[in-house]
This record gives sequence, structure tokens and C-alpha cells, in this order.
Amino acid sequence: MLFDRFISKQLVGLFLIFLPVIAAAQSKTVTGTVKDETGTPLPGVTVTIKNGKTGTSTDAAGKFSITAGNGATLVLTFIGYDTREVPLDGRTSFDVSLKPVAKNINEVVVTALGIARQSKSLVYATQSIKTAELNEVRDANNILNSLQGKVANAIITQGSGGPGSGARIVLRGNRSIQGSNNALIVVDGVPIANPTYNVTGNTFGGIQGPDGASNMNPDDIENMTVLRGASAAALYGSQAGNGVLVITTKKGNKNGFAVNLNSGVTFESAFSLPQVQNQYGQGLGNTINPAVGDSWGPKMTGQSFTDHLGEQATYSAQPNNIRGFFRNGVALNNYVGISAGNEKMQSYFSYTNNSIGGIVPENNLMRHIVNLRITNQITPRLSTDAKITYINQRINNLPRNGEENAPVIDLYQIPRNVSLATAKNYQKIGDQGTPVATPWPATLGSIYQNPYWMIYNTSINAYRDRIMGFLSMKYSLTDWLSVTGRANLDKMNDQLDQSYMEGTVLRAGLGTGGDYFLSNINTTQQWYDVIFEGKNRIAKDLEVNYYAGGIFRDISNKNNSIQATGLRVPNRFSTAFAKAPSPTASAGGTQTQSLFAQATLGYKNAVFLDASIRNDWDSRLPSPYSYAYYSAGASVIISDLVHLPKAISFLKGSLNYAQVGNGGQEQIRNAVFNFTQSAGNGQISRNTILPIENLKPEIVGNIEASLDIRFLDQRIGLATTYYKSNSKNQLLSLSVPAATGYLTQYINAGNIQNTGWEFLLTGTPVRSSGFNWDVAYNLSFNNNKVIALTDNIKTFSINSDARVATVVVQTGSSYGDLFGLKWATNDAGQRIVTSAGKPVLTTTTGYIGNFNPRASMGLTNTFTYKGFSLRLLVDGRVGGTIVSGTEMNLAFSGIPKVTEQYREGGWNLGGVDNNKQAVTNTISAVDFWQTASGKRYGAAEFFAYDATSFRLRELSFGYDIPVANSGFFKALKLSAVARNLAWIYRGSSLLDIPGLGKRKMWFDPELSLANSNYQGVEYGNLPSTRSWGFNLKASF
Amino acid sequence: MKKILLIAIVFTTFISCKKSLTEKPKSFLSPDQFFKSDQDAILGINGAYSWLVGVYPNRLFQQELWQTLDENCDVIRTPHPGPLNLTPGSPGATPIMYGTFYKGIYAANLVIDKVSTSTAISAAIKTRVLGEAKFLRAIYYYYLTGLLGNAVLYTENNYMDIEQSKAYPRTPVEDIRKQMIADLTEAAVGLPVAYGESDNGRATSGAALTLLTKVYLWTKDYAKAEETAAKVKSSGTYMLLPDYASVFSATNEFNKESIFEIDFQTDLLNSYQHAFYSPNNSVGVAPFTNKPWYRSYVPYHAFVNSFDPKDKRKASIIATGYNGQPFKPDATNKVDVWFGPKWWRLDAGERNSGLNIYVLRYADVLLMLAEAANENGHTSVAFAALNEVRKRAGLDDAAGLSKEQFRNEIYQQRAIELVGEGHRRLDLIRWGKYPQAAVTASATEEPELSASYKPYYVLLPIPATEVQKNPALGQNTGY
Repeated sequence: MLFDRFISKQLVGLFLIFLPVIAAAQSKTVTGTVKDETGTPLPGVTVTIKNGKTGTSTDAAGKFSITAGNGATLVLTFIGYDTREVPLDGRTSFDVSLKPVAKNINEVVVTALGIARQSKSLVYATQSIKTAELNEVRDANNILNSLQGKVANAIITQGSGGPGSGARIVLRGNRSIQGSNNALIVVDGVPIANPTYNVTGNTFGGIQGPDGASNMNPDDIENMTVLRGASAAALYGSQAGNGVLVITTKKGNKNGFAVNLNSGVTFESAFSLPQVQNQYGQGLGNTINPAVGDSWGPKMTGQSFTDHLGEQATYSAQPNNIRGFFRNGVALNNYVGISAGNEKMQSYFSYTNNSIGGIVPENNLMRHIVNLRITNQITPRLSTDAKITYINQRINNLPRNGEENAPVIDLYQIPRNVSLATAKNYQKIGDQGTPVATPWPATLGSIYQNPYWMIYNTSINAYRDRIMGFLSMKYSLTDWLSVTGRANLDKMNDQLDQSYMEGTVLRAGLGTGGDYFLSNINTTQQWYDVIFEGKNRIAKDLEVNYYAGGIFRDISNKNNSIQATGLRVPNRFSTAFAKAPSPTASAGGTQTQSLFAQATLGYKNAVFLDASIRNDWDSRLPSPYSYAYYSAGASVIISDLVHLPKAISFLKGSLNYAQVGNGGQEQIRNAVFNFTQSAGNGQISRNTILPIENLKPEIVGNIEASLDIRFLDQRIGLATTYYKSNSKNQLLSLSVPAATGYLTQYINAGNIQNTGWEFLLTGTPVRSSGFNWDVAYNLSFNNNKVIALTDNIKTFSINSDARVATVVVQTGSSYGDLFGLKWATNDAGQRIVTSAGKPVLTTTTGYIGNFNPRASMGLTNTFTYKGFSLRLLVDGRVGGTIVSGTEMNLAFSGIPKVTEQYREGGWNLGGVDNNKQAVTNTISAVDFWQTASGKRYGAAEFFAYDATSFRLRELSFGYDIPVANSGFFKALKLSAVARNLAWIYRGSSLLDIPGLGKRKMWFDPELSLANSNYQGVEYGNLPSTRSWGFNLKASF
Repeated sequence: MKKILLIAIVFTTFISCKKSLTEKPKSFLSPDQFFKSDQDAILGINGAYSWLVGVYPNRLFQQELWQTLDENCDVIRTPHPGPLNLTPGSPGATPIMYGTFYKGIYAANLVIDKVSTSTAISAAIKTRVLGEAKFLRAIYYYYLTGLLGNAVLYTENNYMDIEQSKAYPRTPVEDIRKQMIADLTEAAVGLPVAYGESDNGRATSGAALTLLTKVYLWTKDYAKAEETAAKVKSSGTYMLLPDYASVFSATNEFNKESIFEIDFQTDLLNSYQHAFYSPNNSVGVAPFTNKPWYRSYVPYHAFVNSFDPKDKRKASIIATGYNGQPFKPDATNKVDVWFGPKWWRLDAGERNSGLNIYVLRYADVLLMLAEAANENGHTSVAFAALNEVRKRAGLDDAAGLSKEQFRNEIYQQRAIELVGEGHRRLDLIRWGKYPQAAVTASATEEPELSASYKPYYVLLPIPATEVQKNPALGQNTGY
């Protein structure tokens, strides 16, 4: 075959070639073969000359050829293997074998600004994620979701917006009250824009839009490193205080030509649906009433009755009328990557196509990603790197979530006897030729609509065009100093359009002919940097590495929207038909200019001192815009310095302190007027937010200590980290007396502290020639404390809509306390009921719980036997409270399973009256649940759950099909994959209701209403999904 | 080394561009660029008007204000409201209005402050805009003090420093009325008698005088009230339209009877009021069958029964059927009579009619003139004004009423003539009849509500959250 001469395996770790250079004299050609322990040739091994500037890599047969001087030493590097140095001693040909790296010791991690460093020299904890774990069992909605259980101390919540939905990843606890707590995502050294333009802000409902992260393609990722602390991130500036996901993407192959394919198909089905009762049908007071949405009617025994459409029907249970609405989602992923090149020039091209059908009918995502990267070694001193990625994404029919006019609540509210077949008669064509909604059982004055109307007659579509790319050039000024300049662009054009046919309840009577909204959002991030990078040996055992440079970052965004309330031609969704188009526009931007320096002093390659300083000039701050922050740390490889018992093969300790600053928000320092289009040429009004003229940057201070110990020739490893971080000068917006004419004002205040422990345990219980068993376990604890807000303010609410629960930040407590109404008790702790026996609710809110888990963990077991591999991930969280607004909503209508008991009455709650006398009167289910759920403004205590849960998260079973002799394939791997297979444990409701007990949590605590700081309340979230599928990887 | 130096120089140049760090508001205007022209002054005053309507959650005549001005009085009934329980912690719609009144006052003060000191604005526009601003400041205070009593007094002299104004106490309502009188007197001079059509809806000198009459009635300065109302009458600008119903017709906005009117337009600035005053689908008669509206006002029976059989206004105000088809009564809620076509917009959806709100109207001026003249003992002036209104309604001229009987007649006529136009609560409060009149009116149909009124409900509570933020505000008596 033609390709036989070429290398098939991908070359990795190109960054290692930047080694000090000394020209060798009296050169000659040296050849050799590199093999592994078992004698199999290793292709793609980097072969360089120590202190020289040339290098090559081995071919498919493990052979290499290099020109070297007589006394030269060859350095052989290959990811996953120990680096080996071989002095030539005059030889011109030899064979050498490499030993696999036990675990991580010489691992190279990519740190700030794309700088690759040996992990042992780092003074802070990092964690690498295997790419196979990202691109094999993938989460169709967002790559961040597939990090679940794999990253220590990460709390990942999925926004419930279907495919492409924004997700939230919080590392080491929440620290910002009004700012973002999301980790920063850095691709090839530059933070990417990761905005979410539509975030559901309250339980009434909204759209959870796509974020920037969901555009990332796991197949283009070379490696991913998680920097959890601020320490690691000091060089990124703002936002890095929340930790960083550092992603390096693939480059071209230096030796020949390779093609990689990855194809997957995954099927998704609803995983967490409410438990509903199937005994009592539509009606009130045990009487059939087809006009109401409540299921408080009589027992369903197949009675015949006239239904809401006026047709004769049978009054019988429809157990499948919720599950049957959802379809099986299908997600297709197809990737082709072509890599080619030689010593001088390498290119990598890839195309990925994602076609995802969500579980809500009509909700689809289509995404194309085209990627081209070209790297050149123009002269021995000059190299360039250029990349361009184009992303085109279209999401159709984003489902709204929350309560009103979201398909989920509309569906769950379906009376227990109404079949989906009946519900499909959702419209008829009216006199005007446009659809008119058929009658639908009314709940609470018709605020809900037939879910089929919602999915077929309204649509919310999100389109995105995004171009990301960079050009970079590196020049070696001397053999110890180089300079890299880089220009990076990330430009995103988003369009969101929403159409609502006339007759949609959400838009009831607002516009005639239907409503249409269109918004265009452009985000552009420009990033330019210049970095000097140097390395000197000061004394025999003393080496210094240093970086210094400057960064210019400019982000601008523009939002142009047109609202068309009312269309002249009914249901023609274009602004051209608008009765009264109402445009709004906003534009903004931030710019930061930074200077930074960082140096690491290494003694005997075993003791490292590290320090960095950065100064930012930030447009959001008042003149002179400037603030500085620094980090300092040390690490010691104790095992290299002290003689330790043989069982301990590696021991490293490190300590680090770092600060990260954050410039706050744009456009809040100056008083402004808003212009509004209106009659009389428009109007001007003063912005109702009182500006903060002396805005200070938020500062996160972080101290971190870690110990990394490995035993038995690296077969067991334990990395332990303790950290403490304090975020100060938080930007808060406070309500001011309304009489001043302002609504809110900004202040800088607060101190939020996170402390915690992280443990990463790795081990290889079995290692034999045929069978291998690897275990990776992560466990982490985070403890959050609100040390101070301001002198006057002790409590701060994150959400304004308090009907389910309010999320508050309260001095002396933890971030994310949930407050809601409760079942009233007297001073003796007895529960109070009315004389009729119904529960009495408190009139003021009380503490229900806190949404943060106390601990999180993940356990991955990987078994390999010959060509087979089996990987199982089990993960879970302990603690944390979530209030189910969905259940509160449904309980009012008698739909949940739990409302089935005591329909006929006879329920005594064992409570007392105001005089502490036991109440003997009994009530029925409707009395209890309508009191507890209070017409959607109920008592959270009845619907609060302990969100502790463990699940079988991922399973992949793969087989490397032996193709070595096929002459066509280089590798072929088929895997069967599955996600969210089963619950292992689920928490229960917090309140033990007399006569009922506790209920098992039915929803998935990982799905949230929004990817903002408003967490802990579940309301009309899309159900989470179970998925399974197949994946095929092939290389040519 | 030369190269390093070169790069370092390039680098330094690139980093030191502080100019580009200055934030430039693109979709906003900054105050120092503003109030530099006639156009700016007009945009600024438009902003001060905007709070009169407001946008959620800062609304006045969009919904909360007209609701509050007429609900829970002696005419309009909301079927089955349950007991009224007003507390500072749950003050109903008060917080929405409370903040919006002050936003309007702030905006008016800003215009007065900036426009009066500007040298770039022409004298004509300056006079007019300052007049408009003072009228607006007065009307915001009129409703604020009427509903909530004492209020923080902000003028162009003390509104600016927020750090101080955050903690201002409330000023007695008597002192605020002095400010209102001064403002309205000045506005009546500066404002034009009328505008061109494109400026319909702006305050005129007639509007300032009408509001001034109201303020004088509150201060019981009947001499001034009579004198001011008479000025409106003698100006000849306004007249009663021959037919009561035509005043409220969709095709007859800004008619000769209207003095100050809020212009709603379908899909541009939607009015919600019609839906509250129209029967909904429960009446079973088309086109109402297509209107599954959330809330409906109906009249109390006592009010329906108070109409003189000859009163032509009844057909416009009261309805029991449409197109010859009787409405289906609602036995559960004891509803068998509804409000009539005065507010109906049958082609509109629940929240998109163009029904204007008549804030000030000439019939109101005549009834105020009659009221003041009666108090002053100017019987002939009083009867002449009253009978003008009665005559249009198809009623016989009133004669020979005692001073007290005349007061009762005014009480009656204002209830009918101005029903649903945002006068009733403030009239009852001014006459000392609130909440007793409401208690009596609701006793039969809404006994729960009737029993729940407390004497101190005469003023709404200051929202607890506001007292918390500024304890110097204090609370209204009783709460």
C-alpha cells in the first residue's frame, strides 16, 4: 500500500522540541529502532539531541535516523513513556527500549498561556483528563457535562434547554455573589468567549440558551488539564479565580499522513420523570369535570363521559401520557481528521458534524465544525502556528423551561385520563385560515396550554456562526531566550428568533396576528500577546525558567433586537410583517491590557520556587484602571532528595499562595440616560442604577497545599490537596430607597471563604501482560462560609422570584442557602394544624437547606484484556438540598403519585392547634396538597429533597479490532457506550409527612433551571436523559 | 541584543494605550452630553411623562394606578376578592406605584434643574418644558399624597445628592400641597392652551388649572377652587360633548371635553383597562365568548340602582346583554349585571386595546366648580354648573337643594359621571367617607370584604422594605 512508508500514529508533545541548542561538531548519521518493553516497535517517538536543536521521530516500524556528533546524547521522548537519554559514545546504530510511565511523574501539563511545563515543577495541583473519556462516551448536549465525575471538586449542572444548552461548572465552590462562578475555558492558550445570552431568570420560565463551551469539539482536543485553584490561574487575570479548563487542540503530524475517523450514534430517552398517580381522573371534589385540569376527580373505572373537546370518551387512566410525549433522541457524531506533514510544515484538518435530535419533539441541533491548523518550522529559529476554526450551529425549537408555556409543565399537568391521542387534537383551522387552539382543560385560569401547541405552533431557534483562530510566531533570539507573538480572534454571531402563533397563551392578547422577536448578538474577542520565554542555568544545580510578556484583550458585543408584537399577515414570522416593530440596541465592551512575569527557580530538578506578578489595566475600573496581583509558591520532590523506604517511589509536596483580580462589570461607573423609542420622538430617562464611581476589582486570594505520594513503583498514587480561598470586594447591587428615584446601587463588599480537601487516588491492582485493571478515584469536600457582606447587610438574595424558594447569601452561613415557607411549629416543636386538621404554614420564610453538596466523588474502573477494554464510571454527591417546584405545581392538581393516598379522607396529621391541643379532625389528600402547594406559591419545606445521589454514570466497552495486517487500517476500535445507566442511590424528601413518610427524589439534581447562580430550585426542567450508543474509531 | 530592544520598544508602545481604556457608552447617553438643545429638553420631558404610564414593574396608568384609584370603593366590585388585608409587609400594588411616583418626580426635577440652567435652549421651549415638568411633579405628588399621605419632598434643589436624600424623612402633606400649588400656578402660566396634533397628550394650561382646582378642594380653599375652576370654564377651550357615550368612543380621542388624556394605541402602547371592565366568556354571548379573561369588574347593585330612570348615561355604563342577547348570570358569585360599552373594545385581545385614559375631563371641572360654589354659598353658579352635567345626561335640572343635599348630589353625580376614571377613591378620602362608603357598598355582595376594612385603610401602608431602607420615613397610622 501507498501509505506503508508513512507513520500512522499521531505525534504528540511537539512542544518538547524547544530545548536549548548547542551546535554539534563532527556530525554523522545515527540510526536505530525504538521498542517498548515487550519488543513492539514504537512509532512517533521524538528523538532529539541533548542540548542540540535538531530532532526527528520514529516511523511506523519504530525506526529513526538523525545526524549527530560523536559525543552527543540522544533524548527519546514519547508521551506515556519515561524519557530516556542515550549517550552515543561513537555508535552509529543501536536499538533502545522505552518503559511506560507508571503515573504522571514526567507528565507535561499545559499551564497558563499555553506554556507547557513538567508537572513535577508545578507548585499547585492539576488534573489531566483523558481525551478518550471525552470523545467516546460523549454527552450530546454539552462537552462540560461529560466531565461529570471525572474532575475532582467540580460541581457541574446542566442547563435544561436540550441539545447545546449552557452548562455550569464550578470548581472548589461558589465564590462570587453576582458575578459568574463558572470556570474559565482556555483553548490553545487563550480564554474563549463563553457567554450564555439567554438564561432562565425565574421559575415562571424562560429559555436556557446555548453557551460558548458547547461549541467545543471533543475530537479536536489533544488534551485537557484542569487547574482548580486560583494559584494555577494567576496568569490569566480576570475570571481565572474560578479555576481554568486548559484545552490544547490537535496539530499536524510531522511524519507523513494519517486519517482518523470517529463516528458515533447515541440514543437518548427521558430518565427522570415525575411519579404520577393513575387512579383518579380529571375533576374536582370527586366529580368528573372535563373543563378543569385538576385530577381530583373520582376513581377511573372506564366511565363514559363527554371530554373537553365535547366528544364521548372513556374515563380511564393513561399511564403513558407523559412518557409517551417524549421521543427517543438520536445524536449522530461524525468526525474526520487528516494530519500530514514533514519536518518543515505540518497541517491538521478536521471536519465534525453533529446532528442531535432532542427528546422533545421538534427540538434539533445541527452543527458543523471545520478546523484547519498549520504549523511551520521556517528556519531553525523561526516557527509559526496558525489555526482557524469555523462553527455553524443551528438549534431548532429550543424548549422553554420553567412553569408557564414550557412544554414540560404543560405536559405534566395533563389530566390523568387524557390520552396523548386526544391531546394531539390541539388545533383546528379557523375562519381566517389560521390555527385556532381547541379547548384544553384549564388549570388556574388557563395559564397552561396544550403541549402540542407549544411545540408545533411556537418556536425558538438559535443560530450561530463562529470563527475562532490565531496566528502565532515564535523566534529563538538566542539559545536561551525566545519570543512568541500571537494574535487571536474569537468572533461569534448569534441570532435568536422566536415566533408565537396567534392564540398562544403566553402571548395572550398582546399582539394580533402572532408575535415575532428577532435578536442579533455579535461578540468579538481580540487577543494579542507577546511572551518572552527563557531558561538559564545559573549554577551547576540551579536552573531558572522565566516568562514575561504583555497581553491586550478586547471584547466587544452588540445586541440588536426587533420585537414585533402583532403581525399584519397572521402567523407570517418576519419583521417585514410587523405591525409595530420595536427595535432595541445595546453595545458594550471591555478591554484589558496586562503585563506579567513569572519565574521558576529549580534546584537539582527537585526543589522549585515559583513566583508571578501581573498588572492589569481594565476599562471597567476608574482611571488609572490599574491593579496588580501576584502568586508565590514552592514544591519539593522529597523522594529525589531524601532516601525513602523502597515502597515509596515518589513524594512531592507543594505550597502556594495566589491572588486573582476581576475587574467587575462594564458601564457601571458613570451615570447614563436611556433613550426609549416612543411617541413624540422618543424619550430620555435616567438609568435607575446608581453608578459606582470608585469601583474596585474583586480579588480572590487562594492558599493551597498539596502532597503527592506514589507507592510500589508508581502502582498506587495519592494526591491530596488542601485549599482555602477568600473572595473579597464582591460587586453587589443593592436596593436603594425608592424615593431617591433609583432602584439599585452597586457596592464593593463581602468576603466569601471556601476551604476544602481533594483526594485523587490512582492504582493498578492488576498489571499483567494480558490483563490490566486501573482504578481512579476522586473525592472532595468543600466548605463554604460567608464571612462578611457589609456592615448593614447581612443577607443578600440571589433571585427575586421567591415563590418556590429564595437563594440567599447570609453572613455566617454558606453561599446558597434556600429559604422558603414551612409547616408552622410551636415553641415545643409540635406541628400546628387548623381546627379542620389542615397544616398551617409559616407566614415568613425559614431555612430549608443549602444547594451545595458537601462532598462529591467519582470512581473510574478500567479493565483491559488484549484488545478489549471496559470502563465504568460511578459518581455521586453527598448533601445539598433542591426544592422541586415542579412537584409543588403538580401537587396542586392532584397529579403526583403521592396525592393518591387519602383521597377518601381520614387523614390525621397528628398536629396540634394554637392551644397545643391535639386536633382529631381528619382531612383528605386535596386539603393537604392544595394547602402545601398553595396555588403555586406554596411551602418549600414539603417539596425539598436531599439531593444526595449516586449513579452509574458511564460505561464503555471497546474492542480494538486487530487490523495490523489488513494493509488499510492502522487501528480500528468499536465501542458500545452508555451514560446515566442507573441510580445507585437517591436521597429522599426532607420532611417526614405523618401518614406518608418520605418520598424518593424523582428528578435529577444535576439539571438546573439555568446556568446562573440561581441554583437549588427545580421547576419545569427537561428530564435528564439516559443514553446508549456505539462509537467507531478508525485510523488509516 | 538589538533585536530584543526593538521588540521591547514595539511591545511598550502596544501596551501603553490608556486612551482606549476609557469606557464609551454606545447605546446610552451621558448626562454631560445632554440638555444642550431644544430637542434634548423635549426628549428629557418625554422621559418625565413616561412614568405616568410606566413599564412593568414600574407602572402607574398602565395598570396599578387606575386599579387602586377605583378598586375597593363604593362602585366597582371584583367578584369574590376575599378579605382585604393590607400590611406594610404585603401592601398589594403599593410598592409598584410608590417607586414609580418618585421616579417621575426625580425625572421632573432633573428637567427643571438642567433646563432652567441651560443657556442653549430657546426661551419658548424652556418656558413650555419647565411648565410641563412642574405640572408633572405636581400630578405625581397629587396621587402619591392622596394615596399614601406624607411624602418625601424632592425639588430641583435637593434631589441630586443621593447619599443624603436616601435618608430624608417625609414632609407633612400640607407642605407638599403648597409646593403643588406653586408648581401648578406657574405651570398654568407657562403652558400653552393647546398643542398641534402631534403633541396631543402634553400638559396644557387647562390641565394645570384643573389639577390646581383639585388641590384647592383638598386644602378646602373653596374660594380659590371656585375661582380656578371658573377660569377653565371661562377660557372657552372645553365643552361637554352632546352625547356622554361619544366621549369614550375609539374614534373620538382628544375631543373637546378632554383636558388631560393618556394615549394608548393598540400594539404600540397597549391598554389593559378594557379587559377589566368587559364581561368575559362566562356570559355566553358573542363576541365575549372568545374572551377567557382573567378578571372582570362588575358594578355593585346599589350603584346600578342609584341611576335615575331617565339617565342616558346608564346605557353606556351598565350592561346586562349585547346585541339583544341577555348575559348569562353567574349564580355562584351573584353576578347579574356588568359594566357597559364605555370601556369596551370588542376587537381587542386581553392586553392590546387602544382605550385611552381620561385623567382630567371638563365634566369633572364643572362638578368641582359646582362643589366649590356650593361651599362658598354661590348657589346660582353651583346649580348652573351641576345642571350642565345633568342636562347632558338627560336629567331634569336640579333646584332648591340645601347645601347638604347639594353635597349629596355631587357625591352621586361624581360616582356616575366619572365612574372608572380614577377619581372615586380620592374623592371619598377627600370627603372623609373612606372606607365607610366602601364598607356599606360591599356589605351585601361581598360581606367578607366589607368586614375586613379598617379605618386606617384611608391611607395605604408605606412598603416595609422602604421603611427598612430608610427608617426616617416612618409608617402611616394604624399599620
